Amino acid sequence: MVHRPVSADWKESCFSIDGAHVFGKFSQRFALVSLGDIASAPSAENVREAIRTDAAAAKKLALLRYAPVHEHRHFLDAFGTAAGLCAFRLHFVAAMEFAKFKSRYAGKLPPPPLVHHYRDADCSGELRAFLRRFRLIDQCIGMICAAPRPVFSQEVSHWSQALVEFETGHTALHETLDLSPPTVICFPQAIVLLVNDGKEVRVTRYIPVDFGTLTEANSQMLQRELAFHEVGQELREALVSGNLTVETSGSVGSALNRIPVPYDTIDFLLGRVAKVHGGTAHIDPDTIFRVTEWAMNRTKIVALGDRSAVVADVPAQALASLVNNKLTPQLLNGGPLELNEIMPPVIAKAWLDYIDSLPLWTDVPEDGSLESPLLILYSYVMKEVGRTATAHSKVRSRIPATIHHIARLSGAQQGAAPSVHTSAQGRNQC
Amino acid sequence: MPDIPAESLFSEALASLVGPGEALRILKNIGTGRIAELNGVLIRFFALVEGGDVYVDDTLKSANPDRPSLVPDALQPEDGLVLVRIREGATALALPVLGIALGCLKFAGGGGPTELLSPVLEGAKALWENVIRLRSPEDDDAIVTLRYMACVNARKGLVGRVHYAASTSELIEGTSMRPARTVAALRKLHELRVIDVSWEDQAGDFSKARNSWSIGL
Repeated sequence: MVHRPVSADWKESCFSIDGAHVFGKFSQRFALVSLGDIASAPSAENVREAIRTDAAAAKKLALLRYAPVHEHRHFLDAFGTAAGLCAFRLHFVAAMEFAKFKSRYAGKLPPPPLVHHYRDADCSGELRAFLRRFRLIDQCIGMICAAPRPVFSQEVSHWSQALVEFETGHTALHETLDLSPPTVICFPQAIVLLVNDGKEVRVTRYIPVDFGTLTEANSQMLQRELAFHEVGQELREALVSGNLTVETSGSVGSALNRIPVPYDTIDFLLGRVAKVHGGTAHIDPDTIFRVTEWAMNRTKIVALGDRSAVVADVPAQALASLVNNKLTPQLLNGGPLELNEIMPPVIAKAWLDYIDSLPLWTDVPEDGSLESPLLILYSYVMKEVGRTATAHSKVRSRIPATIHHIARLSGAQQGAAPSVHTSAQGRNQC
Repeated sequence: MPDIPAESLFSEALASLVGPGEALRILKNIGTGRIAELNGVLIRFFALVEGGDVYVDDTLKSANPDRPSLVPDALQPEDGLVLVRIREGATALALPVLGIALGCLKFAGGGGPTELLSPVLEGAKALWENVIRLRSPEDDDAIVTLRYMACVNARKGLVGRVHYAASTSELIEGTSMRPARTVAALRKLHELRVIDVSWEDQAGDFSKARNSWSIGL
């Protein structure tokens, strides 16, 4: 990605946010999609008209038009993948832990934050156990979907690699991260910054990969392909994060900090794998969906106590495994990628059995307790997940078909499957 | 309501091998205290796996709980919270095989739980690192054979509290594979040092039906 110091607001490149205007938001813990000014959502014809005269305006209209499907895709990933369900379940467990603790704790609670009293001599064993377990739940969620902040480095030796795994104890990440799992799997994004005196500054931004990185790739892909079907290639290109301009009178460091993390990190990452040996990347959109879905469907919480927790195959790990052991330039460039068991049957069955074992939300007594409303919400969401999954003959994501289905519904142009062009071509060097 | 059990690492290993129903029966036979103890052993084990993703969170013990710090040397659960991240489908094979092997070592023979000393955990580390090298589909026969061996150990070793080693003929029958494929799988597992053998006759003669095999800790 080439960053040029000319005038433009960096927020122009954010897909969900335009200045103070929020097109859409998704909250996993509340199972909630919220949309902005949906009543004034433009029609496809509005967007087509705009693209002829003002690309920037057309982009804003497109973002508004596609916000519902964008956020809905997040919703599907959050409640249709193992990683998403694990995270939601952990959010629920955390809330229930607090509710149970609050309703049962007989002693007088010290003033918040409770965690600051863990080392107090008079801190009860019960409170300590609660804090330990709460901390572990938080960390488990973090392993799945709370990637730490990216870090910058002048090291450029990773520019040809798709993924780099850092041991956090030996790098700047150790000092920087709020969440410090033992290793952090990152995409080493190449950035060339051209400053006013013409000097070129090369840096690497190590972008940690997590559930959010993967689901954002899906939402971006979905809206890009809808844009292509409804309007055409020009709008699709406009929706890809391309050259970015930032204006600052500050240091190079402050300029770097203002550059937003690209939403299409996974596209760049897979593009790098596909371009090994200097070739070009032509990755089918369905390949992106399948890779991300595969990576999001292996996560398991194996154990969770108040002293230890074991998490298996978080999305970043699964993606790294796929990239290192399976993906080749030939596979990525050879049409839609075939991957077996997008969600392993054993994981799907375990979730369905678990959902079956939950009480029906209508049967949860409304007894005025803190636990009751939490359980009603949780049961409702999970029973809906189970019902939807069972309605399909196979428990696997339907999304790759969805994109074409939506395109047909919207009367979009038919024809050859669109390609994702992730080659540099003056657009980026990621 | 059902939820994630407080200590379920060993239970998870067992259930993925023999199914949840039979796992429950075996777990009842073993007893809650011993299961918790074995969970502790498994957690400690992960600290030894080379490149293992073991994260010790000592936030709660620090003066400023808002600012986590890493203390990699303090890998004792009682000294901090241990968060383990395992990968590459380890829960499908490596964790079950290791859990059963350690369980058999601790509980076979009918005696009380014994302390697993460092050499045993070092052996477990070698076993883990060898098992995770098995890859589907090229190692499918070896994986099936190893899973079956762990199943038999769980059913007979853990329930009967005996040291158990399955014979070649038992493995052929149990896996429903042709003898040549089973022998090839055993050869592969033996080369990887995943299993130990008591030879029926001459050492190195894999063809004997009464060679007896056990997971190599």
